[in-house]
Amino acid sequence: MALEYVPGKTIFHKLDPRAKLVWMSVVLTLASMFLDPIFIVVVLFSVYTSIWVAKVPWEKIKQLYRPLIPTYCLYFILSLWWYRGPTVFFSLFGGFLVVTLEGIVYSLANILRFTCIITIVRVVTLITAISDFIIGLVRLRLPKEFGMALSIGLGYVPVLMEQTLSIMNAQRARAWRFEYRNPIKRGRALLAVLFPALFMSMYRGTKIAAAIESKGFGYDIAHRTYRRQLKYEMRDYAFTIICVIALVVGGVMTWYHLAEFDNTVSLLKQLFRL
Amino acid sequence: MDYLVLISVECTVRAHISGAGHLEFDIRMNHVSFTYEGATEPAIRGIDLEIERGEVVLITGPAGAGKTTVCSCLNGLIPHFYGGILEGQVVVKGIDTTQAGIPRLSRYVGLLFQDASSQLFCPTIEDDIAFGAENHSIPTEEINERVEELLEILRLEKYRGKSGYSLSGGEQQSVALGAIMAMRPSIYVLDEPTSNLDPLGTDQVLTAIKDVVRREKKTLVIVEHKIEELAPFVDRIVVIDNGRIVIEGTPRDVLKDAATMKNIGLKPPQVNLLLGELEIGSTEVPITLDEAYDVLLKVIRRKERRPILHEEAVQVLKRLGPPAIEVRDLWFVYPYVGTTALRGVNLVVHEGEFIGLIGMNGSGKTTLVKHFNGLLKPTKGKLFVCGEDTTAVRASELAQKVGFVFQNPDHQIFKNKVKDEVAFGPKNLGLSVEEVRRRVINALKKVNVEHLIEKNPFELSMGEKQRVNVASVIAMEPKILVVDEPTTGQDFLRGKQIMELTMKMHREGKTIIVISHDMNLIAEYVERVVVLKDGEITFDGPTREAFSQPKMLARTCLKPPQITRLAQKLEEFGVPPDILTVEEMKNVLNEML
Repeated sequence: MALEYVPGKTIFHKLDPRAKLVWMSVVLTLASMFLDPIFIVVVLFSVYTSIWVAKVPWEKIKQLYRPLIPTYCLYFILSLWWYRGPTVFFSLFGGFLVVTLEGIVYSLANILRFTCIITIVRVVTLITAISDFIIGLVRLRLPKEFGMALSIGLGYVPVLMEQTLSIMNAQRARAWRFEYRNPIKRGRALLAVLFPALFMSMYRGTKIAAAIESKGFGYDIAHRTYRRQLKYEMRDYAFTIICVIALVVGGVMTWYHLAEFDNTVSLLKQLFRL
Repeated sequence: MDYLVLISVECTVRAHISGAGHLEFDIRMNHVSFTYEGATEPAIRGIDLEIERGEVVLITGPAGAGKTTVCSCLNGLIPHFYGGILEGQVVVKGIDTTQAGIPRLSRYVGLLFQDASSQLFCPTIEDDIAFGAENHSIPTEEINERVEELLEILRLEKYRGKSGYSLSGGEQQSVALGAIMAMRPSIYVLDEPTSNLDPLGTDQVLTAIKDVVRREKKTLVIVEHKIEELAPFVDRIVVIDNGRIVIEGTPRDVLKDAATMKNIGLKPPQVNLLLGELEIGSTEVPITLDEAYDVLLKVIRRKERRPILHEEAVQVLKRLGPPAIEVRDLWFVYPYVGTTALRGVNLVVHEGEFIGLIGMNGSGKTTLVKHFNGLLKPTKGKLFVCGEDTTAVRASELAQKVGFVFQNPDHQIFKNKVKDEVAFGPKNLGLSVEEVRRRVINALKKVNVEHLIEKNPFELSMGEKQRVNVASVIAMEPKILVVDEPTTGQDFLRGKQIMELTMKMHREGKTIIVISHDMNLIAEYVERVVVLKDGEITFDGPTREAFSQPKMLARTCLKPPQITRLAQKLEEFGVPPDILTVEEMKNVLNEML
């Protein structure tokens, strides 16, 4: 899923992968710096706007969130227990769980921060072809050999998944089961898949290495050319400048404690006269 | 620095060769032997082979004969990638391969491997095609021109931006071929490029290869088992057996002795086998169906005969037992991807039948049989195995009714002794130690590998592994045996051995279902054929009837065996159009000559 690419011709698709990497870094930094849910929502809103502009199907984003809902719920409850503020709403289990306004805002802020982080990573990978990413990283001084290893590694994931599925099917056809409750039994049962998977991976790894060398990799690595030439265009510079401005503003706000969650708490207190 | 060394080596060798007057050879192997690291026997022994510029050479031989080792010598994988002892000299385009690394040699030799998926490792097919050219530092504009041209030539334009992994086997191999072509080597070395492909994929790849050779007039060395398809197209055939060249010459010279080729495990064209066995006094060696027709035309006399099917159908029907598998309006949609693989399939397989499932890749054959042992559950419809609804039974329980022999034995081997590997299934069924032991010995005896009982299965040859694979399935004593593509990636002899084994099981009363792309084997062994296309059954009936309908088969990109096509061509003389084997054809023609 993380390797999926949604082709398109939108402005976000056309951006240089390095500009997208800058954008992703800025969003990640802001989401890490900001503690106030209001500001995190602003950052998240900007990410959602990009999804809309880039015409990424919302289903792709929902697929990302769906499995996280139970984790979010659990985290929310634990945060209430963990973080207790002065504005108490009520307490449960003889004071074991105290629900406070500050606790709710704190846990919401963290959930939003995490949502922001995973969404930007997903969006950038959805609108950037892996090959562009690799070229971008190589241009950012990543060694070419490492770029190739990364590209092959990412490309190998679906092959590995299909291979593991074939092995599981071959073993299930011999009445193999692994749905044991006992972890030792379960672990032993998994050996029937792990060994052939390991053997096949090593075998295939050797084949891929032979194919790479046979296609001349290493012929003149310093002067290796690329099918796609990346060029940092005007729109990339403009987009980078916007990102940098956002980062500077965010940094100043953090420096002056303007993005603490106290602001939201005060606002809610005033609104609801708590 | 490296480059200067290469130029120096190249000049030295070229000078040496010029002196010897052999500059016209693109490839020279002088008494080459190679022993892989850890092996006790050499893989190839004393190979002497000279290939002229622009020559098209087919190298063939049984599995393990040393064909791939020869290919690996030509692009420097031996000795630079695979360790071992190399004796003799390999000179390619005037360069001694021991003196230049693989990347340097890739400027001259493009090697296409058997396994297409291991050659595609880039995010998109365009990237895969461009990979070699990028490594050779070709300017970006030129790389893009080459990629565009190859996408068009190889008919891959509609897959732009897609990962090679998402394509069919034939398309994947076309991309891999494109990647070699984009490097513009002087010599193409293709190592069994079609062995894992269905008939459509084979056609696609062979057509592309023939186009390249015609257009570029390059030297081509192709390793293949499909002599029938390639003989009319190559200049020379080299047969390797047990590491040595045993027969070499023009296709007509080599195919004169089709019987010898068959004896060493090769599959010569059926028309050669036929004409070799008929006593017609002709010295002509036909290498195509049309040539064989022309030869027979001179000697055949008209005689009316009834189709063989008419007599046989009654016998098949008599043998039908109660239903072993019953499929009712079966639909299957793959979750997540949403592909509809089966569309309302209805099928009844009776106990004791021997059925062949045929159709091109993606037609739904494997999806259908995976329902038989519960590996997949229907999206809609019902499926009963021995009267039991499969939706209500676990795959592990169905495993004792339906045995499934997978194509690749390496997908299941994980124990370090053959006896433990074979015991894996029976143990999972919860049988007693004595019963497991009895079944293991019985199963190994049935497949004639009881002598391997204490061996490590990882150390066995591919053929032996496959037998152990079959033993591990039949040790569960299933009533129904499903064999998935026993011939794919195998040579003719190994495929035939597996089919002989299934035939033996069939005689013992087992219901057999075989999936195969090899129409010759289907014709030889199978009684009833089920043809699938786009998830639907388009034909279900006796094998003879299926193969006597070439138009129906063509719609699913299949064609009858060569001998059947010859019979159909000779139908005007009274030859039955549903002949399936060389033996049958020989008997019929003997009465008509």
